[in-house]
Amino acid sequence: MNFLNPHFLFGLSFISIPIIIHFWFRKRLKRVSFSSLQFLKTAEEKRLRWLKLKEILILICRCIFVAGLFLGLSRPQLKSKFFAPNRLASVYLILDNSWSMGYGKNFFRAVETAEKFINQYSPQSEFFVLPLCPDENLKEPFWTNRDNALKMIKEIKLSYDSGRLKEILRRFPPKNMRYPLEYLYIGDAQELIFEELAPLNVKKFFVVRIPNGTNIGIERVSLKDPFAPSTNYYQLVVNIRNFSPSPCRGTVNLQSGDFNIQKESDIPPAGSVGVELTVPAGIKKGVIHFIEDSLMADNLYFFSKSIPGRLKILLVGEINQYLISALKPSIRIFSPVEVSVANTIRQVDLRKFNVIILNGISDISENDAMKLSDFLAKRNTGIIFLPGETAGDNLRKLLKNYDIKIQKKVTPQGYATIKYLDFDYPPFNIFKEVSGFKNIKFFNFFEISTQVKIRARLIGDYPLIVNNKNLLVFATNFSEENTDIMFHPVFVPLIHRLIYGIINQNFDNEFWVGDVVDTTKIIIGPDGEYFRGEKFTRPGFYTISGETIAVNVASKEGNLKVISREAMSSLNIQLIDPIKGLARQDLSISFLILSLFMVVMEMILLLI
Amino acid sequence: MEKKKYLDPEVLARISNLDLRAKLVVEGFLTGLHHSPFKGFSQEFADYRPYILGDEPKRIDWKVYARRDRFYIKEYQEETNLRGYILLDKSGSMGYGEKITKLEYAKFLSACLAYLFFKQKDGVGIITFDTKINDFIPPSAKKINFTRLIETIEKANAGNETSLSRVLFELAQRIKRRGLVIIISDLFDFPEQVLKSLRSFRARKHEIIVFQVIDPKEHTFPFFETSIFEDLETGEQLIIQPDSIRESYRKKFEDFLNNYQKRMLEAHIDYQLMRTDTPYDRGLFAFLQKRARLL
Repeated sequence: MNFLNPHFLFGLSFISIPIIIHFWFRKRLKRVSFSSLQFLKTAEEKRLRWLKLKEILILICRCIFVAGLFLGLSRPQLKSKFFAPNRLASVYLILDNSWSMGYGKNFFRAVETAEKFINQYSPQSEFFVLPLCPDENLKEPFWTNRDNALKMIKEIKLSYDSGRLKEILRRFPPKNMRYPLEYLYIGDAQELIFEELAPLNVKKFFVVRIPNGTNIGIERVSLKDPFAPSTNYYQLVVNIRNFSPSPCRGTVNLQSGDFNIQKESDIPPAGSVGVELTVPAGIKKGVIHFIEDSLMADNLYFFSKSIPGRLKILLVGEINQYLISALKPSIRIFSPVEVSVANTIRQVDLRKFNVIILNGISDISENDAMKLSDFLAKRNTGIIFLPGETAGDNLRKLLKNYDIKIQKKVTPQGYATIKYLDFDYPPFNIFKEVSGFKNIKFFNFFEISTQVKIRARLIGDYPLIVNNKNLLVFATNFSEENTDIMFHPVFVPLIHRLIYGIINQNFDNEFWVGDVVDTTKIIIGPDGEYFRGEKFTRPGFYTISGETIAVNVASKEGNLKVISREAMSSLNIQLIDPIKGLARQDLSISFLILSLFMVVMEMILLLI
Repeated sequence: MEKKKYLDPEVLARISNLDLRAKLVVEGFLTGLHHSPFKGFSQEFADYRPYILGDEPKRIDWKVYARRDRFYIKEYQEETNLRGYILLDKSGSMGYGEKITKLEYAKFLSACLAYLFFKQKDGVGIITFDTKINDFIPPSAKKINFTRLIETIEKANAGNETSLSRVLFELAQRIKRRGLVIIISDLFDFPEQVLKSLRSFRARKHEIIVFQVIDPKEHTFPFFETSIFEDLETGEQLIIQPDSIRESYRKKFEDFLNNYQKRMLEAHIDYQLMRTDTPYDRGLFAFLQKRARLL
């Protein structure tokens, strides 16, 4: 126990005053010699006992009053029960520098708290100081003395990454301790930090929790329908998760250059919502944040989307009006595609096109086959093959490279219908709710033999749509003799989804802090600097080979759910409040109240 | 001069006219005023009784025969002196009193009684005691004995604790010859045990007179201030607020006295309460009058 005003302790000597008064009073009392006290005793034996007790109680009250008064004035301070001063230990100190600690002055508070706790230990104690999210370049830490530990704490910087104790302990297991080992974690004690952590074989594992704000996180920003044909606008879905147990209302704000759009949203407790934002097609990157949350840092979300532009399609072979009108319905309506027609590919510069549709072509030259192979090797290109009457060798060879073999032509008795459609194939997701596929009739089609993905099958298990990488083969072409699919409402969306499905477009150019970087390419960082790290260490827009990518902090970091008491108990963790844990409890008021209470007690005793 | 303090002529003038007569006639060898239980040849006529076979013919009263024509025997009471034992309690509690302590009062009383005994030529002895017997002057009618007795009374000072019942019991064993035992004490002991001891005197045919001496303050408890009361015998101290306990004390003390009075009566022991504010001679006079009526 410490005293802020120790000079008042001299006042304790005044305790002698009531004692002196007591004895003086006794001395002052008239002494009466009496023949025998036996009648006095028997007369009021109980009362006499009470009087004697009362006398002692009054003396005690007076002594406690004086002691309480002067102890109260001397401002006694109780030290923390956890941190007895000058404890000698080997302290494995982990300072949480994860992104969630960026809220307000939390990280600054954590550093300050760490300093205070370090100072509680004996100067001879040794420390192993680690950030929860260490740099890639961090060398093996070492046991150091208290002064160095204080310096090292100050050098730790806030990270944009998430950290796990398990990972830290795996990378830097404590060893060669001289004193009893103690773990000391200082941070917001998010549940995820302790994920998969096995109980440590240590008597003391302190978690000093720095309280954090509320916990809302933007989980993901995605295109509502990536395979929808591009128009003037597209729709983004912002998935926001509320990790807290109370509902939250806030505004989703998208900012991209001068463009700004806001939308209010209610998020249920412990749930998530997808907020849809309609964005002009020209805006392909931006920053979204959710206003009304205390922890802004994890609600800032950089996005970069590859919005399908106006694709250039080359239709080679037979002119199929159904196909052309499906791709380009009217000159007055904006078409997401630009269609060119050619009899052969021999004289066409394929570099101008994104997609080639080979319609009813029996065979191609060897040179054309090589051109098509080169075309398929590029990004954002694809070929749809609609077979004709036969398939020549060069064509077969090209298809064989993609493990697709065109077999004999099948003419079923009557017609065949679609038995199976792969709804897990992303372009076909939208057809889950659509009926009517079974009414489509196929009168003639080619039997296809393949080991690759079959996206649709006909009755009799004949593959209808086969897809390998960016090559797609439809078992028949769209002529009235072969099928009536052109007359069904699903025809137009099916054609568009087949096209957008094979161009191998990555719609999400998004990464997380901590993702490994392709270091062979030149990367320009968020501030225009050349980025030279092995992992993304901070969020923002990066440019790789002219392409913009967005790097964000994992939304889980926004889950500020604190580790439960049960989990702490199972991990043998002691939770310490950063203030109360070290707080020297001021007992002044308690002592002064005790003093006052003694005055009241004495008055009561005197009145009885 | 000091001796005369106990023989105040005024006091003695008032009580010497009264005969101190023992209830029971004890054996003695000095002639006095007392009746002897041994009827025989004596000057004091006792009674007539019819002649029965075996009586000596010389004891027949021929004058009565002449008047009544029947044989009667004339009986005489043998006169003898009384052996008196004055038991003076000089325990600490007897030292209590303001103008006159209980012990002083008891000493006056003892001296008066001794003188009465002496004047009647009765043998008188004195025994002073507290926790044990301090002085034991055997009974004697000689003048020198009286002088020693007065000296013993004179030097008696209040001192130790009392153990009245034990001392009385011891004395009952020690005093072989029957006599008049006068106990002068405040009787501050357990009544049951005191009475038991007194009964042992009675068992030995002693006549007992108990003077219980108390101080008026013991009776009325006229204290008001909170004071430290100190026990004169044990030295024990108690801080007492008299107002709060007065009534209760008085009741207890009254019960104590009444209990003695009642139990003494039951045991055929003469008992007299003597307050020190009552002039001792008056108290003694009243007692002797009462004794006279009893005899």
